[in-house]
Amino acid sequence: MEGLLAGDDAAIRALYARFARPVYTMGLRLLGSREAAEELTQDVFVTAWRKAARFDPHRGRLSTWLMTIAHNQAVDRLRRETGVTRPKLVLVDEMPESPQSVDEDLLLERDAALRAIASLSDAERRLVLRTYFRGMTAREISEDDGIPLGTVKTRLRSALIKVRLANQKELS
Amino acid sequence: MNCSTARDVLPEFALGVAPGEDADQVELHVETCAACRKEAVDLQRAAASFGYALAADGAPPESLEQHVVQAVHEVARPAKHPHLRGRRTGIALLVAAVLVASVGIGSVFAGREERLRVQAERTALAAQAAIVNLGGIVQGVGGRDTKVLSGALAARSGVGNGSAVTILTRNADDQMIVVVNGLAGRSVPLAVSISDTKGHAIDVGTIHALDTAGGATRAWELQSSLKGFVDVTVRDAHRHIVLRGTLQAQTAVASPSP
Repeated sequence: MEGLLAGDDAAIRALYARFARPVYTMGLRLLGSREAAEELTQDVFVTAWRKAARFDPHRGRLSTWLMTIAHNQAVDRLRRETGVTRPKLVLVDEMPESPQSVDEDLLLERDAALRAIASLSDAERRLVLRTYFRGMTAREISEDDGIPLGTVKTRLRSALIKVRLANQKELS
Repeated sequence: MNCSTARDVLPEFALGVAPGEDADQVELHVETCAACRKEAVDLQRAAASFGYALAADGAPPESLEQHVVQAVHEVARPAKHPHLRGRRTGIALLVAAVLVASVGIGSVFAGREERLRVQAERTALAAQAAIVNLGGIVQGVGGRDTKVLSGALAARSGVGNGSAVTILTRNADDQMIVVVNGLAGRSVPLAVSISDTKGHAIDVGTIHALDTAGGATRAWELQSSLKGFVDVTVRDAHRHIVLRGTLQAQTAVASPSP
């Protein structure tokens, strides 16, 4: 991160090599075009440089921090661009893997993520997908489904805690 | 915000969909509350799992790496020249001082509605005249690399007005100053955003309090480029648009008579 802060070429490229693919994939899946995915990737790494001084490894992992930046930026854009046809979202277990080589750490991260998500019921999974990938707020889901706002928030929290516990089991 | 309220918002915060003002307050809260910070980090980690679970659909193009490196270098450049930051801060202070000098007298008339309204209109015009005439000064301090855009903000409902300025530099570490008037009674915080012609928006910041005349002056250093961003929107706490305007490159105008 110090290298990134200094604008060091090798540090930026190392970070890019590690995280460009999941960030680009998120852009592609949420925003629906290669052009938007490229813009998002560029914006995310620039934002990472701007916020690098605030990253504290004791508070969380670099991968989470960067994916949170990427996701927040993608959702902001998704919510702004109303009327855009949103892409169909496909989780890795529903789609054959691309034949191109994928970083081994990324594959491990993805496998762990899929196992954690598998701990959710179908209803919980659909609920989180609507927020995470479609940018819907709890209030919007509450209005769409005709259920109390508090119930939606409780279910979201409960689903995330399940995934968190599954993540913790993976680590232990 | 207390812990109970923060915990209520944290799941949406972690999933990136908390409404703007809630997200701002949660961010502030977790800076000072270790327990909520841990909860936020844990939930964000859980949320990130969904990002990692996405199926890859081809690798990014090879050219993208170079674009990213160049983009980071572009924004990293000012950090290597701290004197530039000092100069930009000086510009912002200068602009803010001129605006406050033009506008800050409105509160004297608090409680006298009609005079207040007239005063608000006058001060808005004075502020607008002041900021559009700042071009030469800012250019002189900031050099040729500095560009100033400005414009009036008009009320949707006919109540209140304001002005806005953006100071653009080659280092893409731009600043924005907003002056509002006559918004007494509007629910705060007011959220200021600016968008480009393609509809991309940047949340600039919030105005947390208004003076008795419903006025405020705020300046932000954005650490991002505002190039192409010209449409300014000010919303109240209910997300209703209260002021709106379009900025343009400066042309000098005469100050209104007092």
